[in-house]
Parts: sequence; structure tokens; C-alpha cells
Amino acid sequence: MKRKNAGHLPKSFWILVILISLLVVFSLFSKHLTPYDPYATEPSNVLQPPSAAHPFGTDGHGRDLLSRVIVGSKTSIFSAFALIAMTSIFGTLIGMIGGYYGGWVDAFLMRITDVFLSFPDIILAIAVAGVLGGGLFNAILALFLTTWTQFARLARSSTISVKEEAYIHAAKLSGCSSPRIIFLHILPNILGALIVTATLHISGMMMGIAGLSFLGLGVKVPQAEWGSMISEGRKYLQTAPWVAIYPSVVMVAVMMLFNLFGDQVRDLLDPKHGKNLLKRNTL
Amino acid sequence: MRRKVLLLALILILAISLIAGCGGGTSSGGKKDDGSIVFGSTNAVMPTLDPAVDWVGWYPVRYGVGETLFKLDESLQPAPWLAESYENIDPNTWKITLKDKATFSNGEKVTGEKVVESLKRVGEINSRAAYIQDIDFSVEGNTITMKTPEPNATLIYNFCDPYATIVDVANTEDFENAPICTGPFKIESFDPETKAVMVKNENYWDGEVKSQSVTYIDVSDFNTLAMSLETGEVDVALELSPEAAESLKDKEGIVVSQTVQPRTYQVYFNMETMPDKAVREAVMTGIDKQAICEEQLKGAVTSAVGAFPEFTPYNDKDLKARIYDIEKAKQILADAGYADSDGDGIVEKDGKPLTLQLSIYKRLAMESIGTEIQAQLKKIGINVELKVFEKSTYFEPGDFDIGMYSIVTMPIGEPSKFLADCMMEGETANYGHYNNPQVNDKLKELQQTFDEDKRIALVAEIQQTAIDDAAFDYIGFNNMMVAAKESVQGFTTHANDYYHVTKDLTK
Repeated sequence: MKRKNAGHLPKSFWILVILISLLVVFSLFSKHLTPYDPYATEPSNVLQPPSAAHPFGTDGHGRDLLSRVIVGSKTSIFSAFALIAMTSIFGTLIGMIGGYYGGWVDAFLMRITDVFLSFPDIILAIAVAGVLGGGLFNAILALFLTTWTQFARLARSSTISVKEEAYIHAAKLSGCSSPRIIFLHILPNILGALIVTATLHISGMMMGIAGLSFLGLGVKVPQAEWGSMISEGRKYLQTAPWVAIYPSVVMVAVMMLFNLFGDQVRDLLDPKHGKNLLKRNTL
Repeated sequence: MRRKVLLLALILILAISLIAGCGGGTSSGGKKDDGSIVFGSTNAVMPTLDPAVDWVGWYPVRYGVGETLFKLDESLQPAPWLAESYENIDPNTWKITLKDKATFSNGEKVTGEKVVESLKRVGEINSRAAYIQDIDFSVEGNTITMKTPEPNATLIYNFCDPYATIVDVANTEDFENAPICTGPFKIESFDPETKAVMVKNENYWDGEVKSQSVTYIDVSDFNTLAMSLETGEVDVALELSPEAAESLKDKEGIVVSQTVQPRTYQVYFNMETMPDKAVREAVMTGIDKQAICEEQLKGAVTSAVGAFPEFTPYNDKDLKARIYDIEKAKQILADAGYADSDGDGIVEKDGKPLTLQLSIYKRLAMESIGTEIQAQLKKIGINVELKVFEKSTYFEPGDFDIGMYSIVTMPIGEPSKFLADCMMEGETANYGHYNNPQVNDKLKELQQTFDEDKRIALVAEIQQTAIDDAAFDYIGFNNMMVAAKESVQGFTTHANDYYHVTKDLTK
């Protein structure tokens, strides 16, 4: 496989990979990296503007915002990762089964998908999270229910286009079982598009979780999470804007990072895309 | 490349036109003015308008639609309103004389028969007014004589409660949407939980009404409310959050006023889920009310130990309460056998960490107070799970260890009803299942005591016992923040928050 020839990958890709790895490691150990206890309230220190002691200022309970933003990174980033992993695996599985077997299996699975697709994403997520009650787990579940369909659709169409290829027929003739064909012959050939979709969706998932938290359906108070911090800061938008602005800025920055990374991954992997760097590099 | 630039330009144009469109929308919305004086609040309109139902009566009275026989004055003492005077003939008999000129908005005279009919209806509908069913009424022209089966020292106070709004029962067709009452305004249209529009009552009995129309609208949150006042969509913003009030303070043409209310943040301890008194005591000792009220909420709440504010004779000056002392709170827990054995900062007993569920709902500063209490109790080793509800629905099923309730303790200027509801065994608001026979007896005694000094002493004893039992705590009294345009006149802010609109209201 020539794709593994790392030397041909563009510099910008490596910069992003390094930045994202740093971010992930940083958020993984965020608990130990905060200057203050992110949950310790300090009533005498309420709504302090940014200063040397508190670079991001303090919130309405006198908690250090920088510490809260740092701790919140773990919740936001890792729940987005978990969500993407869950949705892509489940959705792909459903899509491949439907696409490979066809017939009534396909019809049945795709009608279920259609039902989920027929609701507007965020509305369905709000409804589900509302019924289940608050909490990060329920928010992830709600977003999972609304997102897996995209992977199912994508995996199904890719599977259908791949399954008539000669090598699949060859595999069938040589007596491969269906699961073997699906996982060993079809999956590797449709993986590229799926990975591209997954990486491009990370920032969307972060947004979804933050959105539900903003509405009070995500994390429970007082857990630090960017969406709920922005929601809290909304109250002080006119008197103490930093409470809402800093978590927002950090969130936008992190989301941009993941979006740029997703673009790079698409350039590398998506065969349909005009600027397929790998192909160009290996030609 | 050129295509990209073109695309960007297109998007930019679209975005600008979108923003411009929005701007146009708000400005035309802001200028819309039909002369109606608009009151906005996050809690402005109820699902119904029937004053006899639950606490709905507050709303028609706020709107200037409903009036009661007596009205509480500034010091929360009853003064005549639709009634001319009253006389306490003996402990069981009261004689009320009605104002001769009082009429309903349909022109009908307010007669003794109509008042009795209205009160009896309330007695049937409202559980808080069930005592009315046992009153023996007799009417003679403009005077009503009432005989109660047991001495009822607070009867006149009870008739100040908005549920006792006098309605023309015979002529009202739709109690839910258009009750016929006696106030300076009458209902024109009512949109449940959204909007209520009132128009001038041409037949008002107490003189000319100065304004043509009054509107109450529900606004989703405090920020929106503050902004609608700035843009002129509302003329008066009621019950603002401290943050929203802060943001309006220095704005030109807007006056922010603050009124201490007998509305407290009452803390219920669930006696069934928290039977260990030491835990309750530790919680009471571990909460720093001063820090919450003065520093975190910047004086939006005035800290307290009792249920009744300083400007009333029932205040908490002589109550002996637990004072915030973090070391003592830790000691209480340690003495009761709670110790942090695994070093996670949370104390355990019999291997089980001490976790309490603090249930709150989205009302005024409750979420801020809840977060603060959670952080404070963590310092003494109690893990508090904060559960936030939309409304105070967790009390009935007992879904709390510590439950916070935003409640007006002297809705009718008088403490006995409130105390009995919360503290007497089996009463409607005794959600914590508090049961102390001594308190039950004293509450009954209070109901039948007419002498003011004795009543004050009894109230103090009852409160002291409840505090000693660690059954209730009070964080403090709410300071109601109201912001209005400078030009609005004749609007009253009363400590009890149900007298707003008067006949003199103008803008």
C-alpha cells in the first residue's frame, strides 16, 4: 500500500496532526493542569475581569474561567470522539448490512433510517434529551440517535457500488462467508469516505453537545463544559462579557482545528475529490 | 479562484441582507405603540385567569382586574377596599360592611349576596380556602355577618388573599378567560401563558381610570426582558434577575427599583430521606448565607434565619439559629460517625458516601444559590447532587433530600397560614413530612389567638422549635427588582407583589 508512504504527506497535514495530538493529550490531563480548582466558588471574587491572577477572569460564582475552560475541554473533545466512534461504527454496520444483502433487509433497515432522517436533527436531539432528562450520557445518546443515519446512508451507497466489483464476485466464488466479505473486502474499500465524514463531523458533534448543554439538556451543573459555560455567561453578556466570550473563542478555535484537519483528511483520502494529494503524489 | 471570490461575495451579500432584514424587524417591533402600557415578566401570564384557582388570583389582582374586600397596606396590615369596615363581634362572629358605591365592570352593584356567592365559590374550588365552606353567612343589605365554627383570628387577613377576589359569579360566563370583577381594568383578550390584554373599565367605582389599556406579556428569559425594556417593547420589566437589573441600572430613561419582599428561599429537609438530625444540622451550619447573599448575589437577597422579614412584627431578631461555622459543621458530622476514609474529600458512614440531592427549580436566583450551596457543602465533606427542575414539581413526589422553594411567607400579611401549611402534620405544603406534636399544638393555638403580642410570641416559639429540630432553613428574602421607563406613573411595587396596576397608571 503506497498510502502509508508518510514522506509524501503535506506539511500542513503534519502541523495539524501535531496540534491536535497536543490538544488531545492536554485535555486528557486537563484535571492536573488547571491553575485553580474549577469548581471552588469564591463569592468575594465574583465576575472579576481578566487579570494576571485570572487570565480569563472569573464567572458569576467567582470560579476561575481559565480553569473551567481547560477542564471543559476534556468533556467537549472526548464526548465528541466517543460520539463519532459510536455513530460511525453503528451507522456503518447498518449501512453495510443493508447494502450487501439488499432485498427486504435493505428495505427494512433503510425505512428505519428514513424515519430518523425525517426529523430535523437538532429538534429530535432536543426532544430525546428532554424526555431522557439532563446529563452528558443522555445528550450523547440523543445526538447518537440523530447522527448514525448519515453513516448508514453513506456506507450503504458505497457498499452497493463496491459489491458488484470483480473481486467481490471472486471472493464469493472462492467460498468466503458473507461477514468475511463485508469486513475484509468491502469495509477496507469504503473506509476512506467514512473516515472523511467522521473527521468532518467531529466539530459538528462538539457543537451538538455544547448546544444541548447550552439549552440545559447536556451536562449537569456545575460541571464545566463549554456550552453550559456560554449559557451561564449569557446572563452577564452586558456587564461581564468575558464569561461568555472566552469559552466561545476557545471552542471556535478547537472546532476550526478539527475542521481543517477534516479537510486535510478529505484531500488525502477521498478519491472523488479533485485534489487527491495521495494519488497525485503516487502517480 | 474567481468563482470562489464570487461565491464569497454572494454569501456576504446574503448575510448582510439577512442582518438588515432582522434590524428592520426589531425596529418596527419597537416602534409599535398603541398606547397600551406593557408589563413584561418571565412569569406574567398563567394558564387560566380564574382567581379562585390555586395561586392564580395574584394575576387578575396584578392586572388591575380583580379586587378583594380588604387590601394590605405598606406594613402588611389590612385596610378596607371593597369593604367599608369590619367589626369583630365575638371570637366567632365578624360583621363586614361593603362600600355602597362599589360596582362590577358590567355595572352591577356589589351586593352582600354577590360577595357571599363569590366567596363560597372560592371555598369550593381552592383548598387553601376550604375554611370558607364552614362559615355561616347571613346578609342584610350591605352588611355580611359571618359565623365561623371555631375562632379564626385571621379571617380579615384571609380576605386580602387574591383568591378572595370578588367575582360576579352569576354573570360571568367564562371564568377561565374573562371573569367579571371590580377593578379599574377589565379583560379584553387572554392568551394562556402568553399574553393578557386589559382595557379601561368605564364603570369603575372609584373614579376615572387614566389609561386606556394595559398588557401583560410573558418573556422567555431575563436578558430578553431587559432588552425589550431598552428597545421599548415593554414599559415595565417585572421581577428581573440581579444580573439583568444590573445591566439596566445606568441606562438613560430607565428607573430600577428594589423592594424587600417576604419572599424567601425556604429550605425543606426531607425527614424521610434524611432522618439523621446531625446531617441536617451540619448542612445548616455549613451554609454561609452571608457569602451567598451579600457577595455572590450582591444584595439581591437579604440573608435571614427566620421566615418573616424585618419590617414585620414577626421578624427573626430573637431567634437562636445556627451560625455558619465550617469547623463546627465538620465536627457535627464527625461526631455522628461520618469520616472521610478514602480521601476523596467526601465523608462516609458504613462505607456509603454522604450524598444529598438538592432539588431546585428555575426561579429567580435559585440556580445561583444552589450552585453555591453545592460548593459550600463540599467543603465540609458532603457531596451534593444538584437537580434542576423547570417548576417546583419535585415536592409532591418527595424527589429531594434538600428542597428549595421560593415562597412568599406572608402573602396576606400574617404568618399562621404559612407556618401551618409547611409545618403541621399532613398539611398541603409540609413536603418534608415534619411532625412535631408540640408544633402542631402551637399552630392550632395560634389560629385561635387574637392577642397580637401572644401571636408574636407563639410564632417565635414555633419557629425556634422547627430550627432546633433542624427541619427548615431560610436562605434569605428576595429583593424584587423592577425596572420601568421613567415616564410610567401610578405603578406600585408592593412587598407582596400583587398590587401593580392602579387607576392612576399612565405612561
